[in-house]
Amino acid sequence: MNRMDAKSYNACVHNWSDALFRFACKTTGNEEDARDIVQSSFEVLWTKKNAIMPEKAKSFLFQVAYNQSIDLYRKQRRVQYPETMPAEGAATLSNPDVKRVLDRALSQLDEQSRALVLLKDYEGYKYEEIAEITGLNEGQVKVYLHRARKTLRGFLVSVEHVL
Amino acid sequence: MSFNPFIIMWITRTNYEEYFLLSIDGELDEAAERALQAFLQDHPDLRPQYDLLKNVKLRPDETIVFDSKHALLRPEPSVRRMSLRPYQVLSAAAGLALLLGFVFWWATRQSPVSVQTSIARKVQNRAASVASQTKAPLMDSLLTASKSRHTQSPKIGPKPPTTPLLAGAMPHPASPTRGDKTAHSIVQNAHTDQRPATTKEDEHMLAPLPTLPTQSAAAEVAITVLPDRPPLADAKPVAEQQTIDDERRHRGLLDDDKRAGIDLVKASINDRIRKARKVRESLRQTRFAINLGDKQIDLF
Repeated sequence: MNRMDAKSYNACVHNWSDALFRFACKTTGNEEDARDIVQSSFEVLWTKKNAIMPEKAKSFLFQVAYNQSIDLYRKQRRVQYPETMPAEGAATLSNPDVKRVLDRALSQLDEQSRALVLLKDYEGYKYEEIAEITGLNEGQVKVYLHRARKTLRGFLVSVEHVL
Repeated sequence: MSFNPFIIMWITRTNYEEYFLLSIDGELDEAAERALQAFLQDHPDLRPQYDLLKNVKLRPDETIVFDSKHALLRPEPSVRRMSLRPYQVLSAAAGLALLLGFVFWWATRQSPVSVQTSIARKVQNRAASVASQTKAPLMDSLLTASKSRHTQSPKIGPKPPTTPLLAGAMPHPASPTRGDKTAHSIVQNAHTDQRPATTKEDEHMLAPLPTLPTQSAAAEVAITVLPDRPPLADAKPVAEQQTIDDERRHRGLLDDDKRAGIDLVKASINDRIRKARKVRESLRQTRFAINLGDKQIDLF
């Protein structure tokens, strides 16, 4: 049985740290919090390296990051996007593109739905894998994800109506 | 999650949105995806809703990177490589050559000749020990062989040679020979397990026995067992010394038989050579010629 060693751990750092940081940034809305989440996630991975297979390291990292972002959200009860997300009704919306609108719409989602959308769209996980990461069942993932997409679609439609 | 394509066939205007979302999430297999596209072709008014949901799909922002990777990396254990200096390589090669040389010497030191010698030594020691243990039966066989020489050899054995050499060595059947007397005394001493008396006849025991024209079974057994050079040590026990004397006597018997055979072969060869010379002389005196009409051509 192939266990994780320093070499495979460093390979995970090179392969998944950017994606994990991206996910953490989008879920927390704060770059510093995202950096802390990434560091603590890799710290946990190194601590439990003897119990984790290298091919499962990525999902383990996202699982840790998801849980920590949820914990952070519950502590702060706030989501701030000072750099990436302008406030609603700001002048930037007069010349919006789809990406900006979606980033803003993402901030309107709850923490769990946002994480599900990010795991699906950013990382391309299947429902089954997302369920494993988030601790939900597959049906819940499907329902929550569809609900989040309808919300995003509604926000996108409303912005188009405003424009 | 897998979705049965037969269920997809039941896509209606009331449940199409779920299948739109499944298609955007990439959770439909190829057959279901074809069924959905067929449904869209049949209901073109629903195509804008499908396209709008496709625009809701997010794309990762590649500009966001984690720039503190070095803080996360862990030191990897370095692989130790053995680097040898030239003198180390030479010493290793010399050691290997010595090892190979020793193996070659070991493999070639036991040549067939040396193996035969070692086997002969083993047989020699074994024969000495067996002879010391079975002294009485050996003497009995010697006595039997000596008797059979006088009684059976004229009947079943080959004809005695008529050459002067072998004829002179032929024992007289009526009177016991010196060898028979010696055998009688040896057997008697062996049975009584006493030291042989130092009589005048015993002094002749060391001399080879007279040549016998026949070979008995006892003599054959003695020939196969006896070594060429029996160990004759001065400080031998009495019984072992007696056995060695017996062996030496049998060896003399063997040598005389060999000598007689060789003389026979020599005589036969000389006889054939003489006959061949006579034929050659007769041929030399014969005249070979071919008659061709009036002419006569001498060949040689």
